Amino acid sequence: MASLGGGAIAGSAKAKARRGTLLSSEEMTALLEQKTVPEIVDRLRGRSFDVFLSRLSADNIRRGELEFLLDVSILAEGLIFRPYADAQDRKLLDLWLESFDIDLIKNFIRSLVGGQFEHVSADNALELVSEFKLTLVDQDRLLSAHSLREVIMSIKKESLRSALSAALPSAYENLSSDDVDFDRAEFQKTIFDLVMTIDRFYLNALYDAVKDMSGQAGRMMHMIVGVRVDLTNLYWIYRARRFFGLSPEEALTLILRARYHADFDTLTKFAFAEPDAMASVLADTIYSGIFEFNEDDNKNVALREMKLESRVSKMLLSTAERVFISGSDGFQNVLAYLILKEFEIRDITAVMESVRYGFDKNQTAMFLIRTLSSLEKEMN
Amino acid sequence: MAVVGMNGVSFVGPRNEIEEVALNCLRYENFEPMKPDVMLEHYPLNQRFETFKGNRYDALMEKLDELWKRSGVQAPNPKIVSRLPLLHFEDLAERVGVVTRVMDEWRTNLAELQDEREKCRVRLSFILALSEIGYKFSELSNTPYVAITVGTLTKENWHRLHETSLAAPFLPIQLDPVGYEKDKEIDTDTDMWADNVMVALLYGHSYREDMQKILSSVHMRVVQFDKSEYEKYENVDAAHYQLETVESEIELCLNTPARYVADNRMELEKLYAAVYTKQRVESLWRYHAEMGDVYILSGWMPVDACLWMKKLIVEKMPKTMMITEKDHVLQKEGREIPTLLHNLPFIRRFQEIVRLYSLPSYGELDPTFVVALSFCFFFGFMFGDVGHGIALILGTMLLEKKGLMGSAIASVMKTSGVFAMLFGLLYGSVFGNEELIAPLWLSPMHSVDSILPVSIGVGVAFLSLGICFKIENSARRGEWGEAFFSPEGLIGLVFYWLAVGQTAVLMGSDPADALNQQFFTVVMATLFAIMIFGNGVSKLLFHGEKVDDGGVVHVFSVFHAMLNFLSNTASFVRLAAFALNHAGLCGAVFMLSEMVENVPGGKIYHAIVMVIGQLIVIGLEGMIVFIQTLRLEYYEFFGKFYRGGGREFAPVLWKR
Repeated sequence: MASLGGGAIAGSAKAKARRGTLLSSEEMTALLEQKTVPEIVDRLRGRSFDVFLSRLSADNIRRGELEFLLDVSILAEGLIFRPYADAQDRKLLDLWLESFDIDLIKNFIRSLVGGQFEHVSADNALELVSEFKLTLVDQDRLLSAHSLREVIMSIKKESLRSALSAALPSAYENLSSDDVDFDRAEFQKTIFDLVMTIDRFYLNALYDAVKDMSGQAGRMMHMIVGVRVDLTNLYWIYRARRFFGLSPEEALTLILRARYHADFDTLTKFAFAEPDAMASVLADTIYSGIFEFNEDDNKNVALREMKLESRVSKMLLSTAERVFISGSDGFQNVLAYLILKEFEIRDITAVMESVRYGFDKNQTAMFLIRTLSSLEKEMN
Repeated sequence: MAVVGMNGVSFVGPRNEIEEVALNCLRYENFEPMKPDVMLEHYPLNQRFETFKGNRYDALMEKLDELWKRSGVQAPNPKIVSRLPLLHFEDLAERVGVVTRVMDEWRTNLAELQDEREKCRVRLSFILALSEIGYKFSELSNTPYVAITVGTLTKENWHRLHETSLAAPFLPIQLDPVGYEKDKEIDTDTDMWADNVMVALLYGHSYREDMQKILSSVHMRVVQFDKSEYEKYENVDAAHYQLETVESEIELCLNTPARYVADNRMELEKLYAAVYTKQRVESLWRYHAEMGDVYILSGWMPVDACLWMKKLIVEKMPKTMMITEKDHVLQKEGREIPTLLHNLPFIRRFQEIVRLYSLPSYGELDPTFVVALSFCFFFGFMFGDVGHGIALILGTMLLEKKGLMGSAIASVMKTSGVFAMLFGLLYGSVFGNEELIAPLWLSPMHSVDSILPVSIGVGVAFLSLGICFKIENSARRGEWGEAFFSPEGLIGLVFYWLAVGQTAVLMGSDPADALNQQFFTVVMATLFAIMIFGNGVSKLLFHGEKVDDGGVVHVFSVFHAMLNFLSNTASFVRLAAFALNHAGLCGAVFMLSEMVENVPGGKIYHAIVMVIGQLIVIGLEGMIVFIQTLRLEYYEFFGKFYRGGGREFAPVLWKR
């Protein structure tokens, strides 16, 4: 990584150019002013997701389908950069895009027990991005799985398969949506454990791929993934302590093996602090303020949690933007761009969600990850 | 030398007859299914039928395959079961259900035994660890202050548990695992315990409840010991014996599927053949449609097979209707018709070379025949040597046998080796030695003046053939302007021949035979002007024929084509150049071997240099010549006419 190849520079330039194609603050504000989902879709026509949106019928847009198509568009965006990557960067990009495999497996587990996710959508997604191949999972085996054990057995990587097998008590191995008591706490815990095991596997692998990278580009990639790792650890501990009533030691067993700035000592102090005092543990770190709430926040739990999620996302967003601001060339710009793209999609999804609930644009803006400068000006 | 004619066909009839149709299609492997609504969109029935996708028999096949795999016996090679209407899905599913129950029972037994084995291993490892520090197993049955838990967990979870111990009051100790050395191969499909870490945990009794929660978080499989076990396994030998007993039971259990297959072989083979046939039939009609009791099956079929199928339907399936859509009609509708190449056996092996570039699209000329002949000729021309040809054939056979080279490329290489031998005879060269046999034609090193014009002449002929192919392809597509007026059309060909002819005569023995310079210039300029204004002329003569490029781009493309005539022709000098290069390299090997001959032990060094040198010539030059031959085919020849981009005809095969 010390010296940049032509591919990395070209990929970096492409990422910078594509960053310019993201929705501007004005365009996002204009989206907020739309009254229906079809109007939002119309506004988005002509953008990079057009090829995906064109699959929707104009008079019958289903929200789930739309969100799914937008998610797939992130995958397609990632694949654009593959030809520019050298072997090491390509490996990292493939690993990054493995998040699609990860989501697919998680969705499949949820669908199996909840029947909410249509298996056919996986087929559709893979048709849309034909150059993408699932690497983590045997597609046919996954699509034909009828039990949790079959889902696990469809996974190709043995380390993940054995981790999931360990997390799956034999009592639940053969359960499908026909014979599940969804409300049983131990069953919910099993699903929670499986999903967390998958996330842990993915983030640990991603961090392992960047932690020893050298040079400016390597440090930036380390930062992008590292901040995400730290925030994940902190957030998991926070939720385990505040919502699931786990002991500090139990909370610590949930976290990732990977560490960036928040070392085990910090995480231990964070876990052993009372939930209201957790923020003080992070006072001297780059994560200060994220877990800090005033009395008003604590009165409305739902709002407090939304605020927290928004702060976490904003921190990740600002990390990605810092990469671009540094101005240096390298594959880190591709990863940063993919983060920006993902957050843009999440913001669009949030706007659609708001339309459903009838929020006005100022209320909706609160749920967005990005700060809309044009809206702020308008309000001032 | 052809792309096989293809029709779109639909069969409409009662289920039993459509099954017969499907069976016959499977038997002759000549039907590629497609969705009926695509094929029948012009027919009124299109609106009323329901289409299906999927194969109910996949799950049944999976169960049977699992049985054969677990039994260690090779799955049967089934024959088509022709009495299909008598085989109902429900009956077959019930029969497969019996097999599934046997397998489920076996799997449960095996899992229980593997759990038991793991328990024995953990116990034994723990007893041994205790004995090393002078403790007895029974002493742990009643510890007043310290609670001990043993078990296994994954490496990742062990890492998390170990790290958590830094912040919690328990002590984790990793045990040396015992008893794993007998595992020949870990089957992670059945053995949940594979590749885990074995640990013992020490903590205060008061911390037991918290410890249980932590262990649950890291998914540790705890091995519980009751009081009787503490006494029973006081002796290490007893623990060893117990482990061996369980291992023997596992061994027996692993043989259960094999015994089951042996005891029921005939019946299982019949069941396998029946399910296999149904699975293949359903795979063939995976896009079938139903309209009440009527089944509709659509797909692509070679024209010959259509005729034969039509006859069969008239004779044996009177209630079935066969609707055929001709290729030209489907092409006009913009359907992508699949490509099936049909060539003579010798030529067929070169289809891989064409496919490597791109398969011809339907209706395009199949260049395989020309590629086969020219590939062998070019390779032999550049690599002509009897000995090296033989070595190439033997080397290829060896690589093919070891599975390092695919049979298609191996066939090409072996044929190329034969041509290298033939040209070796023409050049009089055996392992680079030109004194063993007299050349039947010439020795490249001694006849540079002769071999160079020959290579250029071959190039001119080959490029002309490429242009002829382009004319033929354009005519097939009805692009007459392209066929006549483009640089790779008829005018271009005349221009090229005139230029080549004039150059040859001027450089030949009697320049006086050349065309009058002024006349030649006028003719060439006229031809050139026709090419430049070809687009306009095409529009005028062939009423609205579409042209690819705009005016400026077209002018540049004509100039580019003219330059290509020159560079493509010159490119064939490489035929002579590599023939010379081959002789030169061999000469160098001989020189080197002679240089070392006079040192002590020179004969041995001589032999070593000869062998290594020859291997380098065969390996390195063989590879370079192969690449150069491909270049001549792909760049110089295909560049003149070939579009490719065809989709291969993919019939449903009997073999899965």
